Amino acid sequence: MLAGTAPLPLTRELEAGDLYTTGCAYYRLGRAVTAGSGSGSLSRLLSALEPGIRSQVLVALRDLPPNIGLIHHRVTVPVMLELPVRRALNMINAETLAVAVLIGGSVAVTADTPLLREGAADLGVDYRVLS
Amino acid sequence: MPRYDRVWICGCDLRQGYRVGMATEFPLDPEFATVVERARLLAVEMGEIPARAGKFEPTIPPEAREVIAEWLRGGGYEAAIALIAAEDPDLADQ
Repeated sequence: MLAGTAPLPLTRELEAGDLYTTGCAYYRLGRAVTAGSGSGSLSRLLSALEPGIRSQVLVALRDLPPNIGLIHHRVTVPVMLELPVRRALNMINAETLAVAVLIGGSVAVTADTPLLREGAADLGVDYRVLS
Repeated sequence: MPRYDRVWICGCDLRQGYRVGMATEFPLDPEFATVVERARLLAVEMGEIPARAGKFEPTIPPEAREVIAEWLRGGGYEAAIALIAAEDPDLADQ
């Protein structure tokens, strides 16, 4: 999405102000972008680019565009604490489901996660795996 | 498991002025619905619902987009996530 390579429907949702992320997912993306210089890491690949462009990319990937909604933990944590799901969730999945319930939205992920899928089903939240 | 009733969590007042996502109705436990309503009111007061609408222009230079696309295609993102999740289980796909 941030690199402009997302499918058009997602971009439309983004421009309509219908797209939200979570603090955990945002932090995780930032860590993935900047973490280390090991094999396959983005920072190693980006090192082949000119320093000015590389810097521009890292800033763009770290700064969340204003179109993407992000709800404060002051709001989400009370909902996360009370999620009526059958199996325990870690923080990233609890926040995802809390935000989905709060905005009356659906969950869209790139990798299917059984516990998140089951939690969404418990709550009646639509769950989509993007290809 | 709590008793489930059909409860609208998108009250008319809260829906004014913004669009909701695809699903607009959830089967919620009444106590949980109360928690959700309180949180939604707070989110609206804080201006976090709705998110800001407007034209989106990626700020990543074209020459870098292919690098990122290749990173995604090659599983680089998943590998980075696995590394991060090993250090912090709260950031793991469960």
